[in-house]
Amino acid sequence: MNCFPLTFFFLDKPIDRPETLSFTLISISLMKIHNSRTQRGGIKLHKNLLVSYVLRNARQVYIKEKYAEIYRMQQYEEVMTVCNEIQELNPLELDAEDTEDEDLTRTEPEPVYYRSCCMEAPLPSPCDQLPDCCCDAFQCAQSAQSPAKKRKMDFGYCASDLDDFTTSRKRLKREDCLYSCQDFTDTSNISNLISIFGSGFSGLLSRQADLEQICSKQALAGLGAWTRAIVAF
Amino acid sequence: MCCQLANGLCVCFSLSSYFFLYPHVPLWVSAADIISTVEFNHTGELLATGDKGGRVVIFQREPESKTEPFSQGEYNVYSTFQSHEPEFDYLKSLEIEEKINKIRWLPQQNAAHFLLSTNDKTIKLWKVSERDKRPEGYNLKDEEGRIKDISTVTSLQVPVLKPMDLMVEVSPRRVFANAHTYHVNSISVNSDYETYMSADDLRINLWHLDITDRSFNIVDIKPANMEDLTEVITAAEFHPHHCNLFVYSSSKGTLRLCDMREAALCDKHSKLFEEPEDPSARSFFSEIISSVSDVKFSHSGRYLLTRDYLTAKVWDLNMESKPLETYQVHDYLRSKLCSLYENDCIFDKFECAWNGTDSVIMTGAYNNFFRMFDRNTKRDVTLEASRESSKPRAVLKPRRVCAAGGKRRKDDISVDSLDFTKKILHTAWHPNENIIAIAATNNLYIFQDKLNSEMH
Repeated sequence: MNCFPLTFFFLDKPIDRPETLSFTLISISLMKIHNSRTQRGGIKLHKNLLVSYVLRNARQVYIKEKYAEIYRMQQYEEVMTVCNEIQELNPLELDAEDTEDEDLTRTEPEPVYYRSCCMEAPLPSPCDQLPDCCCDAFQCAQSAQSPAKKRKMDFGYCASDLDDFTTSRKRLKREDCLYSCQDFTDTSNISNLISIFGSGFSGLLSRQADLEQICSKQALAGLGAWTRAIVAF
Repeated sequence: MCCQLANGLCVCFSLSSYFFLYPHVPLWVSAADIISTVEFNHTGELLATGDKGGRVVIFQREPESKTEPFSQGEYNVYSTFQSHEPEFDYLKSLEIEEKINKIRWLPQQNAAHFLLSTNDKTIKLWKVSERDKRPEGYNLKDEEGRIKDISTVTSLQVPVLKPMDLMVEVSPRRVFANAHTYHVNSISVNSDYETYMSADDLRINLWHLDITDRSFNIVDIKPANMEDLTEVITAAEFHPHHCNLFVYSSSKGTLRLCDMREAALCDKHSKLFEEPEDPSARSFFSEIISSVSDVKFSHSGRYLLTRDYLTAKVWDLNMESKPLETYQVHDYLRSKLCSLYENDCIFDKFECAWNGTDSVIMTGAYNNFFRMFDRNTKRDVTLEASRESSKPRAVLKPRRVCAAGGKRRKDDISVDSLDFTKKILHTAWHPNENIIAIAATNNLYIFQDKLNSEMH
C-alpha cells in the first residue's frame, strides 16, 4: 500500500557507505516479492519483473563495494602484518636492513588458496573472505540440481554477463526454495540471502597463480609507505 | 493567471461543471470507489468511468439551452451498472479482481451506444440504449403484466406506444473470456469497427466483436523459459486510420509498430522505436522509470505519445531512433526515487492524452496535479484538481513545484510537501472541444476551457 506520505526520505540523503543503500534496497525488494504472493489479484508479472531489476542492480553494487572493502581490509592486514614484523627489529641497527629484507621474504604471507571470482571488479576478490555459510548454502543450492545442469551453470557464471536477468532470477528461485518459510524482515536471514547472491561466482582455478603474484607484488608495493599507513590507521 | 496556449486559446480551465462525487461520500476513501479508467466516446457526448469495484458510470452532456446558460454542456449521470464481479480461478487458486482496467467506446452506428470494458481477464461488450416509450393496452395481460381472466376480455384493442420517463438500459451483449493467462492492460477498437484487440503482459489477441468463443493471437513475447523473461507488454493501441497497424509498448521503454498484413503472428515488428539509454544517468531504478505506462496515437495517426515515470514523449512514426519531443513531467522526483520505490509509488502507471488537434498533451502527476504541454509554443502548465482550490466557475490557478531548497515563491509547493497518495493516473480529453476529465482517486473533475464556454 502506498497510502503514506514519504516517510523514508532518509534513503535519498547521501549515505556514506553505498553498500548500505544497496543492502537496504535488496531487503526491500525481497520483501516486495514475498508480499506479492499474497496480494489480491495474483502475482503481478510486470511489477515483479521491475523489482527483480532493482534487486539485480542493488546486488551488483553491493558485491562490488563489498569486494572493494575486503580488498582494502586485506591490504591493511598485510601492511599491518609486515609492520608488526618490522617493529620487532631495532631500526637503529645498521645491519637491520639486511635482516629486514630477510624477514620480509620470510614473513611474506604463505600462498593462500584464492578462489578467484570472475566479475568486472578489476581487483582479485578472495572469496574465502566471505563467511563460510554462504559457500555452503550456495553449494547446497547447486547440488539440488542435476550434475549436467550444475556444470552448465558453472560455465554460465564464469563466462556470462552478470547483467543477465536470468542469473538473478535463477538465484531468486534458489533462495525461494531455501528460504520460502522465512520472515524476510529478519536481518540475519537477509544477510544470508545476500551471501548467497554474493557467492554466485564459482572460480576459475587457473587464475590462482596469477593472483598470488599480484597479491605479493601489492604487498611489497604497500611496504614502501608503511610508515604513512601506520600513522593513517 | 491564464495560460496562453496555441492559436490564442486561453486555457484557463475552470471548474465549470461539476465536480462529481460518487453517490455515497464517506469520510474515508472507499477503495471500491477509486476510479480506474476514464473515456470519452467518439462525439464527446458521453463520458464513461470505471472503478475498482467493477462499476461503470456513464455521464451524458446536457444539450445547451439558451434559457439556462449555466447548464450548458453540463455532464450528468446517465447510467450506472455493475460491469464485473470478483471471480475466483479455482485451478490456480487466484482471485480475479473486478477492477475495470479499461473502457473503450465503439463508434455509434445506431441509436444505441456500445462500449467494451475489461478487468484483468474478461472483456465485455455492453449495449447502452434508451427507452422512452412503452406499449400499453395489451389484450391478454394488464398494466402490471398479470394475465387477465379471459372471461373479462370483451373486445380486442391494438396496443399503442405511450411516452414514459426516460430509462437507460444497459445489457451485456458479449462476454470475451478465457483468452488471457496474464493481466489484461489494454483494449483497442480497430478502425474497421469489426475487430478489436486485447493485450496482457505477454500476449495480444485479436477478436471479432461478434465472436466470443475464439480469438487470434497476434503477438506472443512469452519466452520458452520464463526465467529468461526480460520485458512485458505494457500498452497497445490500433492506428486510428490504418486497420492493419497497431503499436505496443514494453517495460523496457520500447515501442513496436506492427503490420498485420506481414504475418499472422506479429512477433517481428515493422518498426522499433527506442531511445538509447544515457549511461551517465544509470541508477538502481533505470529499468523502472523507463517502462512505458501508456501509449496513444495522435488523432492524425502521425505521432505517438508515450508516458514513462518521469517524462512524456512524442514520437514521429517516421523516426525510430529517438523521440521527437520529450517533456519533463516531474523531474524533481528523480532524486526521490528510493523513497518512491519503498512506498510503491514508482510503480504508478500514469496515462496520457492528446487534445483534439494534437497540439497539446496532458498527463497526471502527484498531489492532484496534472500537466499540459503545448507542443507548438513549448509552454506548459501545472494545474490542480481539488475541492479546496477550486470553486465552481473559478479559473484554475497554475501551480508550481519548487525543488527543496530552491527559490520559493508564494503559493509554491515544495517537493517534500507533495501528497503522494493523491495521484492523477487517468485523464481524458474531449475529442473535439477543450473539455477534460480528470480522475483524482474517487472524484471525477470535469474542466472546461473558459473560452470554450464563452463561445456557447
